Formats: sequence, C-alpha cells, structure tokens
Amino acid sequence: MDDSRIIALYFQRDEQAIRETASKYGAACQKIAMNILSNLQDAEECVNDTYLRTWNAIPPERPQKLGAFVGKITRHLALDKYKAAHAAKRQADTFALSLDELGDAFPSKDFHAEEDARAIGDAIHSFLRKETETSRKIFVCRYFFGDSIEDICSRFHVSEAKVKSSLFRSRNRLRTHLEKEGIYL
Amino acid sequence: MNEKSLLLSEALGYIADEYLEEAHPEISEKASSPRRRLQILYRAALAACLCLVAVGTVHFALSSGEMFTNATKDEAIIPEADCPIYDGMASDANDVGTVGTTAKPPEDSTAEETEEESTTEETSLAETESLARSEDS
Repeated sequence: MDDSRIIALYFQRDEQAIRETASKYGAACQKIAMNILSNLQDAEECVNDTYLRTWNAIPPERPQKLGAFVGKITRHLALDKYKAAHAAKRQADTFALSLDELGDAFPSKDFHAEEDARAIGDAIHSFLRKETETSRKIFVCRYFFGDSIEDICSRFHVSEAKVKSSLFRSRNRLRTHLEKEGIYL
Repeated sequence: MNEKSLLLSEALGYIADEYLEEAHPEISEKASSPRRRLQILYRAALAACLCLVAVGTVHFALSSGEMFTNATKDEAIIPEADCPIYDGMASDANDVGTVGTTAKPPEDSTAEETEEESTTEETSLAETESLARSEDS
C-alpha cells in the first residue's frame, strides 16, 4: 500500500494503518532498535511503542516520508530506552562504541552542554550535503542506524579498511565544519 | 556512552530523510512497495533477455565469419562445378530467365536469320542448277 493511503488511514483513525505500517516498515524499525539496544525483547517493545507514537502523532502530523518518520521515532525511543538502561553503567556494545568514536573526535575541553541538539543537527545536515555520496552513506549507516563495520562492508561491498578510513576522514571534516559554524563540543 | 556522545546522537536525529533513505533504501517507499519490486524484477528480466540476444548475435556473427573463412579456403581446392552453392545459383539464374520474361532470347533471332540465309542460298543454288540444265538441253 502506498504511504499516502496509509497516512489517510491514520487520519480516518483506522487501525489497519498500524498493520500496514508494520508490514511495510516493521523489519527496518526492528533493525534500527536492535542495533541500538542489542536485545530482541527490548527492540520489539520499542517497535510496538513506535506504532503507538505514530498513531498519536498522525494526525496532526502528515509526514512526507513515512518510512523515515517511523525510523526516526524508533531510533529516538530506542535511545531513550538505552539511556534509561545504561544510566548508571557504561556498556561496551556496538552502538556505544560507534557514538564514542564520534564523540572522541571532539576535545573534551571544548564541550558546552548548552549547545542545542537541533542546531548541531542542522550543522551535521549541511556537512553531509557537502560529503560524497559514498562517505555520506557510510557515515549515516554508522552513526544514525548504528550499523556495525561488517554490516556496512557487506551493504556497500567495500573493505573494512576503506570503511574505517572513510569514517575517520568524515569525523575530522565534521569537526572542522562544526568549528567553522561556531559549534564547539 | 558519555554526555557528548548522547548529544551528538540526538543531533543526528535531525538529519534529512533523504539521507536516511539513501543509506538504508529499505525505509524508502519506493524500495518497499510491491509495485517497485515488480518493476525491478521486470527490468532485471529485460536486461537478461537483451544480454542473451547480444550474446546470440555475437556468436552468430563469429560462426558465420568462420564459415566464410572456411569457404574461401575451400574454393582453392574444390572446383566451381562441384560446389553445390554455385550449382544452385546457376539453376536459379536459369529459372529467372525462362519464367518471368516474355521477350524472346537473342539466340532465337540469330537462328532465324541463319535459317533465312540458308534458304536464300538453297534457292540460288536451285536457280543455277536449273540454268545449267537449260543450257545443256
């Protein structure tokens, strides 16, 4: 079913909308949640919460891209769950490693907690626009979806060394870009 | 995960949907719709057919080229008269000449002329013979 028809079902408050969303984007949402939480039960719970959140958000929201919309909700919910579960202890799993390697690119002395996530997000968006397609895809897979290096290698048919090198260069360019934008983390 | 990493992870939530679809096509509508899948399958099948046709054409061209080469080699050995292709061509040419045309071949007219010439010669001989007999008598 087309996204526009699914959204129309949401507007009619028809529960078929949730079933259609689940059949179309459920697997992708499950993967996003699993990458962050590394736990099947938590991931399924997160995906179910995604459907509820989507049901409450549409209407009034009318997303242009339903897949990306539910994907972002899943990621947001999974991050919240992750933070709640790991507030007290630091766990060396794949997602934490992927974000820490990004955070480590920025010196701690420059860190200002008051920086708005939205402003940083806009700056990252403008940075990604200037990146090449391949490096942008690798960056988004790693740091948005939390894909492992092996997953990225198999997805784009490139070597592990190339992925690591691309990520390293992208992080350095992002730091320079954010500093030019006046954002110091 | 430290505070800085969490802030960055939240910030990454604001990047454009296009980049997400580009990196993970499974969350894009186009890639996940059944119609799109059918289109992809159809294009793949069409491309495979075109490849087969191209390979077939190349193979045919190569094999016919090989036949031509063999034929030119054989010409030196096999006499023209024994060549079935030559015989076939010759018989075809005869068929065309006899069937589709109404005009008489030039050979027939020359034969008539020779017949006329021979008859005139015969009459002149007969006249001289009759003259000789009359003189004798």
